[in-house]
Amino acid sequence: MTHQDGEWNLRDINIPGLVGGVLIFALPFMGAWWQVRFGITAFVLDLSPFTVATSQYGTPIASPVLSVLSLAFMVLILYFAALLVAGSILRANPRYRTLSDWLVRWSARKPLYLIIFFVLSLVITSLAMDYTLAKAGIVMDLPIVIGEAVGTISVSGLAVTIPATMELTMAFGVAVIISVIAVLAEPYQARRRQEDSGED
Amino acid sequence: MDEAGLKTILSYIPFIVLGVCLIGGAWLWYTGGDPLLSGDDPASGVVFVTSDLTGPSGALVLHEMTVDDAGKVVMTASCMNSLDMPVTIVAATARPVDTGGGKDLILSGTVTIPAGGAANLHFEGPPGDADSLSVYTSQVSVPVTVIYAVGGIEVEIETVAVRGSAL
Repeated sequence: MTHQDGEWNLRDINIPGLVGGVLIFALPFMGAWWQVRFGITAFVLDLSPFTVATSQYGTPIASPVLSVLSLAFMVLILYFAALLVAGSILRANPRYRTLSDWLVRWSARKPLYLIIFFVLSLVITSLAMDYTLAKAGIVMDLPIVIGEAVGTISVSGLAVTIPATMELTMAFGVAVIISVIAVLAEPYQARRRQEDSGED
Repeated sequence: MDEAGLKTILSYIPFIVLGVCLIGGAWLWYTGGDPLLSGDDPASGVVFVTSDLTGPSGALVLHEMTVDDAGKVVMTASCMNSLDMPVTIVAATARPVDTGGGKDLILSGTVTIPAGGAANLHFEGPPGDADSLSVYTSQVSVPVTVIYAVGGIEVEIETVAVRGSAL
């Protein structure tokens, strides 16, 4: 199969890249990836790279700094999604093969890196919470990332029981699947390139 | 624009976005602070609740304590909630006689007190336990243990119910 310069052949589109790129556009709008609850409504933290929602007894606590960082992550992931889609489509035209390869290589792994960064952030957040609770005199063996625990505070004539739960949501699982599809775009791109050179 | 130039521009865009947002975040922090990052964390929230509830919710007012024909002690006390969120009394026990074999009176059911409101707590003892009405009716204050829940956090406090006339 050989093509003349400038001729579009839709069969050469990078399918995993195109599918992954389109799905990445949905990532910022799927809600929280991780949820932490102390009690039922006493303190709730809904976290994803694109949203930081905290509330204390139903009252939201706004964090302008984290909101701006979340906005940055949202803009960046949408940017890389656009590059991945563009790179996957440009693969269909031999004139843009070099640019297509670069676009896919530059963008395909970014969602996976984001997930790795997010999980590391969760571990750090869990450890920070554990440290903060211990410092506040709350006896609680807080789990790392996922799990349940019950904390207690005991002073004279007073005992406080604080149940805590941490869980990864379905949105996180979907994000992992989408990132794997996006990562597959890179070997797919390379495989097609070898086929082309073999034919040439 | 050639391909190399385009790649250069596309490579720099993420760093520009991140840089702008970091500068913006730093500016917001500098000008207005950040309530989440500056201490309104779970631990301080819990401390806030406990320190606010030990006082006001401990103000039980003993209204009535009687013994029925079956020898069962019945007690009614009111409880205030000065918090701006509902409080649920999960369980409570009252011990009307300090010495002499008095048994605990048990709260008849969970009671939810609205924010800033008050509610009556009804306690009942086992039948046939009370053989002297005067022992109970003359008691001015009754030790009470209350377990209440606020937003899923349970607090157990030892307090006292005092007759309204004695307050």
